[in-house]
Amino acid sequence: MDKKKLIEEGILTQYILGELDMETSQAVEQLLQSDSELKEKALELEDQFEQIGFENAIAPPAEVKKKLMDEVEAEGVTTGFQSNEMVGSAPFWKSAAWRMAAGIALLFGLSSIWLFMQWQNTRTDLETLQSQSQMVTDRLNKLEQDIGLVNTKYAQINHPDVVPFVLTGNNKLPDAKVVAYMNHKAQSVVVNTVSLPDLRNTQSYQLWADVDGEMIDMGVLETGQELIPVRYIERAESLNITIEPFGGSEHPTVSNLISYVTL
Amino acid sequence: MSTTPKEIPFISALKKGDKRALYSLYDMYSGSIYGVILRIVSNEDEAKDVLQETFISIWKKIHMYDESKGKFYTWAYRIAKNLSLNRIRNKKRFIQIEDSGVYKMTEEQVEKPELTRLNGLLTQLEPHHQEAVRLVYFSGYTHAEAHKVMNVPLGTFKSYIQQAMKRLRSGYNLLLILGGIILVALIYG
Repeated sequence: MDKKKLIEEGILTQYILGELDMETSQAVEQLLQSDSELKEKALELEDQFEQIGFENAIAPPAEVKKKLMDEVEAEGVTTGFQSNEMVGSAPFWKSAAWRMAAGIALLFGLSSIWLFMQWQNTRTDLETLQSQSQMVTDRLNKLEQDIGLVNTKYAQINHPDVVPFVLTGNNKLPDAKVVAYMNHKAQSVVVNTVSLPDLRNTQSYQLWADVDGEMIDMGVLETGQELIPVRYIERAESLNITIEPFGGSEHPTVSNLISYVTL
Repeated sequence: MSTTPKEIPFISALKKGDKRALYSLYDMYSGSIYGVILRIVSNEDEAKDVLQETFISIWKKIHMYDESKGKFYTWAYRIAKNLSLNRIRNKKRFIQIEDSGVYKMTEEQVEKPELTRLNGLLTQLEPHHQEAVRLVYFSGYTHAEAHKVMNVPLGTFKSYIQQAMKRLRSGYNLLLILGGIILVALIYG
């Protein structure tokens, strides 16, 4: 294709009117780019067609512009350039698609936060419940142990073979009161010292059994205890409590006898 | 006409997404574009739709317009013509002329002929020149189709177009000269 053919065969006119296929159009464009005289000719033809267009113009109804503006302002229509660069009058954040995407993202984000908070609350609640459950279990175990201990103690003093003996303080210690539960069959003795006054740190109460006139050690008594097991002595005729040096003595200090009971 | 058209600042603004530039270009070109569309589709309601589509298309595709390849009007004209022809083809408002593969509008579909009448220097041309320009410019026919409509060989049809454009050019140049004389006369009293 050369310049002469382009002009004389009317190909340039066809190009301007948009009649040519893409391949021929590109060939014409290449010629136009390289030939300023041809370019000038093309421009002249364009001017003529534009002039014909203006001479035959028909004013469109005003409603068309209004509809066009409505459609463009609705922002559902975007220019091709907006995908490559952000532009002034139609910012991307005002587009319907972006708003919808942002709305969905926001909804998703809020939902995620809500679900995360719910999950955190549930986890906290679960941890609290687990902690409380453990506390209840511990208390239950302790209560069971206590009940077992109480039952054991109760069995020790409430058995039909058990005989309680009350040792009341003499004039040296009139407020003192000790109960000894003796089970001759089981050969056991437990003592309640709850009502036994405290001593100085250098002294201890000691329980003795009188067997044929001889005082035999049954054990040191710690004050404030409900049931203290002490040594059982066969053929004991009486129980005696003395105040001895701290830790007890091998032989009783008779002058410090504060209570006794005959069996 | 100038090789640096007046629309260039608007096109630059439009390429930056300025809607006001689109409305300005609409004000400048909607009349001439609508004249083409109305003559092709021959229906006012459809012509209004196609005009709106044309400027929406311009809005969307302005980044594809290359100033170095031609004038904005030519680019917009091609968009309008293609949309108009699509509209007609979709509505099947062309009837095939025998076995020629050429489609022609049916007479009953042409409404308000006064709206599609040609004006300006075009009316000063000889009827066959006028008809040739009307067919390719205002009816959307290609040269290959239009010569069949006029029932003349393609070469003859092309010469009709060339002669028509030559006479129009002479007429426009004469108008420019007359306009210049009138302007000088007005200035110098």
